[in-house]
Amino acid sequence: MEMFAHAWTALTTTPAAFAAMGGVVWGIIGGALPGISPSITMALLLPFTFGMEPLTAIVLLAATYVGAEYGGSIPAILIRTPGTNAAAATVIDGYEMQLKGRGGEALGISLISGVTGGLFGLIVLVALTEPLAKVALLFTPMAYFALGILAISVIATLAEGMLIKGLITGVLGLMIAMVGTDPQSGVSRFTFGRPELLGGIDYILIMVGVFAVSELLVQAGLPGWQRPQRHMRVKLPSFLTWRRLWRPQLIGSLIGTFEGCMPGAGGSVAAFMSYNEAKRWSRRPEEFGKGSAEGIAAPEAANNTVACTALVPTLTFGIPGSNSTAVLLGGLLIHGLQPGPLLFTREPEFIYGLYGGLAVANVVQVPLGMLIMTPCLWLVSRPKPYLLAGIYGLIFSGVYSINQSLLDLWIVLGAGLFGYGLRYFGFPFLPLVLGVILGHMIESSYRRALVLSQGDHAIFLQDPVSAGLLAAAVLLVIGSLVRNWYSARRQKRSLQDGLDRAGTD
Amino acid sequence: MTRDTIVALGLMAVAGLYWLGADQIRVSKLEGIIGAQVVPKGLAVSLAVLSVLLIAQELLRPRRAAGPAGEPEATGPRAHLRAAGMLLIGVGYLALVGTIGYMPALVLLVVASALYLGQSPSAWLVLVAVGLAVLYYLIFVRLLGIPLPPGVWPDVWQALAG
Repeated sequence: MEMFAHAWTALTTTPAAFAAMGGVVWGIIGGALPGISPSITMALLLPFTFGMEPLTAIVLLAATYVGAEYGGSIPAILIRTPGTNAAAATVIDGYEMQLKGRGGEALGISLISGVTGGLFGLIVLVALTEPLAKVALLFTPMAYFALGILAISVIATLAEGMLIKGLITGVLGLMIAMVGTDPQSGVSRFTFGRPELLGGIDYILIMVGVFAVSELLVQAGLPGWQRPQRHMRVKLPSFLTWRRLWRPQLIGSLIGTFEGCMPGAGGSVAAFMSYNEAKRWSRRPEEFGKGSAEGIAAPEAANNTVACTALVPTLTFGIPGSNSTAVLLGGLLIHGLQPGPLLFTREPEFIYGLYGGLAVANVVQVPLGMLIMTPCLWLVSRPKPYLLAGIYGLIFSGVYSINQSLLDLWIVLGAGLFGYGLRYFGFPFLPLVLGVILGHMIESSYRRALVLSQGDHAIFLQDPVSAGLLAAAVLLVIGSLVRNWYSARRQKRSLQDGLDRAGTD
Repeated sequence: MTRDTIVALGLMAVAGLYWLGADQIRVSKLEGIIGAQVVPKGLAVSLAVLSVLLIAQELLRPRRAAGPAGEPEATGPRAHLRAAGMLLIGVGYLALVGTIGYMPALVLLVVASALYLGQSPSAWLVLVAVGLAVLYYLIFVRLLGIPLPPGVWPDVWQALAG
């Protein structure tokens, strides 16, 4: 009851409810633009949140994530181009329905399934987050150091075949985090005599650069996207259709819950897994791939569930499992909100206000999704050069507004070029961003632990939580190395078999 | 030599430079057991070791068997040239914005980017650019109260006035 009271107070005494609505609208628009992922949509918004109350800012970002997951299905259904990665599974049956003249119905199914999944994910978030956060009360400086190392290791090992590259980008992120004044001794590090760098490099600059600017650079080399038809109305599913959809929605929600709580898995994995499972458990599996309503309901429920459940590891341990939650974590830290158990005891209004904001965002998604369909289609059908040029201007204006520093703009442009290089050479992004965000925590926990032990590194193994987390990190890395080795051996063998066959022929 | 090997060699150079940079960090009497240099030096060593592992991985990997994970996302010289052009437009904006001010620089940025991305030159394009500049000015300066770079114009007007 106390939780509802906190949420109600937060929603009625702050602009959080309006932020939820604004975030959903912005998210739907951003998600509907092909190539603009939820994380980019959120990163573009980050500079605007600086002057806001923490709750309003975080609700705005979280609601953007929710809206973007639905927005991504709009071009997926109408022009066979997923607006977000997570909407790729929606293309299969969504576009088939559009070809049969049932595009409006497909959008309605996507919208309703997304809301169902989102509300399911919210219940899981509320139920899991606080008990899990209490586990973090056991954490010492050694454990926090080990947690940071584990977080980067988890994210680095998730990209298949890219373990070393993932670890390299994690280290590069930590290197960037070293720039600025050392908090213990007060000496400056890697500032090159620039006073603007004494405070370090804001992770927001790195995030906007590697997510948004690098995407712009990639988009500049790609052909223009197909334009959708200008008029389309969302048609909500009938009661009969709805009754058929509960099973795929439940499958999507359950898979989305599991995937969202696992760092790194993300909405796209959940969407494809739930599509396959929904097909397996369907009474009409033959309709999948030919315009099945269930084929839209399952992935859309899954990726919207992930939008809520991905907050579980972010809020409890400060480990963002995806690019979008990394941006959200950046937003939390910008506003001085440190994830973990203390957040729940010190800032209950914030936590329950965030839950309330997410509930509002999910519910208002239905009317807003229907209302803004026409303006959204108008915007998406604008020529790509105008849209990209406008986004370029928005990035520069938004970033300048943070510190009113031109150096920040150069850093963002540099980070964009760096991000483009990472994409080109096949390096994953997320470990870099995590390294930049967690760098300060990892270093300060490491040094505090060594002060406690008088410089004896054995303290990291004497603390049970720290030892457990470090062991998990080592096991993950070894497991990933073994998997890569087997995969390389399999590839080598199949290549040899191919060459042998070619020789025999 | 594969692309990953070249990158790894570059990263080793970065690690070396980072070590040298860390070595330049002043030693303070306040720093206690672990100095401000220790973690940066550890990171430089980690980067060098990981770069060596990347090279080893490349040497052990069977040829022609690069998986999808190693495939670059944006390929082709034309795509890189397009990206470089877009980046240069950004550099041009940054070079100009301090002098000519936010609004004119933003109009130029939008016009140059849109033309570069294939939009035909037209009066409509200029109108869109001016419209966007005004919209952003209203949002940032009027609504959020954030001063954007005025350029040399205030000095020019002051000189002209008196």
